[in-house]
Amino acid sequence: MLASCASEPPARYEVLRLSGTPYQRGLQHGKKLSSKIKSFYTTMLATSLLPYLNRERAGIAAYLTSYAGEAYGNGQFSLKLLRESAVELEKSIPQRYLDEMHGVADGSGVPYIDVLVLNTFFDSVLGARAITYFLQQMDAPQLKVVEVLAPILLSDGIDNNSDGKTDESGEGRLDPYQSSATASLVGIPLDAHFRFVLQNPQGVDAKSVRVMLGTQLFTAGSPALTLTAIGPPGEQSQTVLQVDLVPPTPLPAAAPVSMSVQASGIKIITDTPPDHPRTLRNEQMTFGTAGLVSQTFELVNRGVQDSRTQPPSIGFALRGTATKNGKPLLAHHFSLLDAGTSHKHTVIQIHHPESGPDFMFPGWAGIVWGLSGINAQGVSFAVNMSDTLNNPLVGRVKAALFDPDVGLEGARLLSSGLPVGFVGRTVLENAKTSAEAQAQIQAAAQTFGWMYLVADKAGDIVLVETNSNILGALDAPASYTPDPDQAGNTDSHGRPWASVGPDDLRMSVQFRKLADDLTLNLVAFKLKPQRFWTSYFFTANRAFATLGDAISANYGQFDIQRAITVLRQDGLYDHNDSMNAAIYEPATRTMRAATGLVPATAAPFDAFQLAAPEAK
Amino acid sequence: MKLRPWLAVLLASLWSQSALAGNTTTLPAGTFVLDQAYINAVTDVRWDDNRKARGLIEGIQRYEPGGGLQGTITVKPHVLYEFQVSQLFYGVTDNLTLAIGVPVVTRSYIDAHLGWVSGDYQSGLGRSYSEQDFWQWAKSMGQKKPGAFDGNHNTLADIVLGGRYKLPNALWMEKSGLVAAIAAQVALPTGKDPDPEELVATGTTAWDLNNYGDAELHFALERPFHYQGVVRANVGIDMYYGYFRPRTYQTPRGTKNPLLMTYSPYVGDTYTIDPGDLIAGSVLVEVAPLLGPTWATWLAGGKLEKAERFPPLLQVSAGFTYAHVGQSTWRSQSALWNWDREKLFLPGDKDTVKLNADISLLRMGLPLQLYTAYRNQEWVPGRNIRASNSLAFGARLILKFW
Repeated sequence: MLASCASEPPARYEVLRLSGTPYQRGLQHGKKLSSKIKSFYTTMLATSLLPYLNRERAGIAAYLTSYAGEAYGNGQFSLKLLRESAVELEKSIPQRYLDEMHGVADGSGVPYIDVLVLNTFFDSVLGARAITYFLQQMDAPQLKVVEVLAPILLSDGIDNNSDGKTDESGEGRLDPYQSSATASLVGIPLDAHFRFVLQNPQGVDAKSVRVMLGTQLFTAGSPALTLTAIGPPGEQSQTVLQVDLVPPTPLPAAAPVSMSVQASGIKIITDTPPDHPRTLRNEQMTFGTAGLVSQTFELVNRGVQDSRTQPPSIGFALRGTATKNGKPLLAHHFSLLDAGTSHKHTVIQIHHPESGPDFMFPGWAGIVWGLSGINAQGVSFAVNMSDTLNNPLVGRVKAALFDPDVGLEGARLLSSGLPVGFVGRTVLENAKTSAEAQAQIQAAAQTFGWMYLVADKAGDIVLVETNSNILGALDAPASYTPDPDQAGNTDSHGRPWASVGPDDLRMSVQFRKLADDLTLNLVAFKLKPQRFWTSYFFTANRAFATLGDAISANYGQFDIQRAITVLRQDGLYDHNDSMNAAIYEPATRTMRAATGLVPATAAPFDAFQLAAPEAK
Repeated sequence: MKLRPWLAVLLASLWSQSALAGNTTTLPAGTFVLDQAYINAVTDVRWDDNRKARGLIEGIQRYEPGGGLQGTITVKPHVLYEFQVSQLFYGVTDNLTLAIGVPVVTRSYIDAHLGWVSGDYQSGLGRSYSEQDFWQWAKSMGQKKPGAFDGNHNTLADIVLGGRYKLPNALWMEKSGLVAAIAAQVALPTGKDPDPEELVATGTTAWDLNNYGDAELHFALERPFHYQGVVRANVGIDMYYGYFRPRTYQTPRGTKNPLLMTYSPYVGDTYTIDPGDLIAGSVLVEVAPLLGPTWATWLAGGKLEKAERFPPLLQVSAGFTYAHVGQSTWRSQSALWNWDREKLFLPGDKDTVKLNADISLLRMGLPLQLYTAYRNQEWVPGRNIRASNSLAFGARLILKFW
């Protein structure tokens, strides 16, 4: 070819305008994006997610022995797991969506089961990931005790741990230590020393200890750090390791002090390559030095931005006094799983169904839903995950344990409920108001922990926190609005769950109202709320606080550009796993989507508008 | 006639028995020349769109699903080709010479120089992936670390057929001392494609060698300078068009590299490359600094005056070629996949410096010429091409049966 003109890169994203019956829309989708659907399935699942999931087989099969069978060998574990879970989830998916997925399959030439897996793997994987990560953390060294060594704590007249008692014995000792979204202790002196007790039955690797004080790193060998094996005498001595830190300089006065602790076990795990020890997540805590605040809950355990973690997904809804024109606005940036390929397969889907309102959302090739969207009735939503063990997979294990015919060896990691994307589709196809959307979300059986943020054209904004309610303890998912006068909208200290003012709501990926999402003793396992184990907890806490600051700083000035600026703010977007960002204006049925790049917020926010319902 | 690239340097000096190593020379009628050469070609560098030197292959980023960047497999291949090239030329008339070139790759060797740049911290692992971590995990998934490629032993490349026709001199050309010729060549598809499943491999076709087209058409104009009946200097230009035919390949299915080369599910069973064609222009300067001893040997029929018309003992030349290379286009079921490759083959240019030296023993009674040729594509930065440098040594035997 002689042409001197260069090839052009493919469009940053596709735009699908789909009309007709669900099957017809699926068929149009499949025909137009056949190649991209195949590409997305191969690059996201076949050569990325499935191989990575396969390595978890050994760890899972150690407990759920049915997965040790030959049928799950030869690299088939993850594919089989996702297919079985997809078939189980299919039972809860309304027929119209099944028809649409059949249309996608027929149009693209991709087998239906693969289309089904593409549309359900998100729900299946998150549940399995939560379980495997929890098991790994249980096997890792545990931070049992945190102690601030300062005699004055017993006589300073301050309730340092906010337990309602002042200067009681052991006031500076957190035993057992518990992860917290807020400060662990306040009113500590500037010359305080710190002690951490780590425990692991197989031993704690002293060389792996890593303590950070602010941005200052201390490791084994640092003069400020003293490591002492205090386990039972002999070989067991390393099962308990005491770590003492004497900060080389005084702590800052009347300021938050951020610390984090990390350590690995001695035992090397060899059945899930690469060989590695189990490692305690970067356990992060905050202390307030004297004069800063008087209660622990007044100080957020924000930590410091580090190079080891990325911010998670965020979303915020604004209205009234928060926006420049008083009109509602919902912004969302979803990050989780780009894996170098999602952004290449993004699709703006605009549906014109035969009945019901038109709707649109940013999504991906072969997937019939998005994680945010808007309909012609002026209802918009965005959803984030919230890591939880209160999910159907744990529910099935629990049920199997109490079924003598099944037992642990017969328990299966199958998801159930309505996959989150289809919950979103239900909202887009039916809701005329935020209240209706809320009711539809609450009526759905949930596949995992989710946080739905909803805004409508009237300016009603609501946040719904859900999990799979496997204990039946929830009468309804937790929901709240910014209104502090309305029951259920404030925490035990009378503060709004997720608002900095009267007209805003925000979310990251950690529960606020549902923070105690699950506590359950399941044979040898003590299942705990998310804050005790999930790798997202501390980054979510930091992003939530940072976002709150950004909203405060722009209160009353928010317009599209300000919202974009916040979404692009450093510390609020993931550099690697950003998937898409969108801003919705319910009053004008407008979506501005940034997609097709990593991070998505680096792309322009392109506008799409739905016609008013009466124009249809 | 002009054959690219390695054949070219040989042929350029081949015709020097009656003039210098220009692009307009033809053999005397009834003359055969048998040429045998060894060529060593090395490729380390790819010029990018900004004329910056890069490795031949882009790094491969691997991601931990939900965990960000696992790391980047860096690849800095060193590619070595060794050839034996046999060429036979025949002067049909004094103005028309035909030729056949049979290149045989005696060895291709690629050391991928795989490296690793760690990515994000992985909380599940307690550290970032090291190179050892990655390959240990990959191996457990059936993905071995690609090793060096050592293949194409004594494998035929694309055979080249060609001819050069010296144009009749127009009056103005005679007055100005100019000589013109046209040449054409075609490459027969006798080379071997690389194994599609190998990450590090190469073939022996014209596209793999990426230096001479499947078909080329040349026009050359030169001005030789005579001194005492012998051409002692020559300057010339050569303009040519090189055409590459589209070729279809099997798409990797991941049988050997399941993590890195599973493409067929979305690319299709086969894909087609339509390589970018070449439009080039060369300038050449040759001098013969040393005539050498001239004897009235059997080769000159015992006549000194005839021997004195033989080529000088030593001829050296320097040339520069600018070649515009068109966009290479991939065609498959996946526009995304196509673009990932096409972006490395955007329109660009090759800038080649050539240095030759010939020793002719004709004046001393031996129908033999020895030569060496060096070609470099790194001294002058190119754009969107792979730079190949080569060194050739050869010998020619001149035969005439009359």
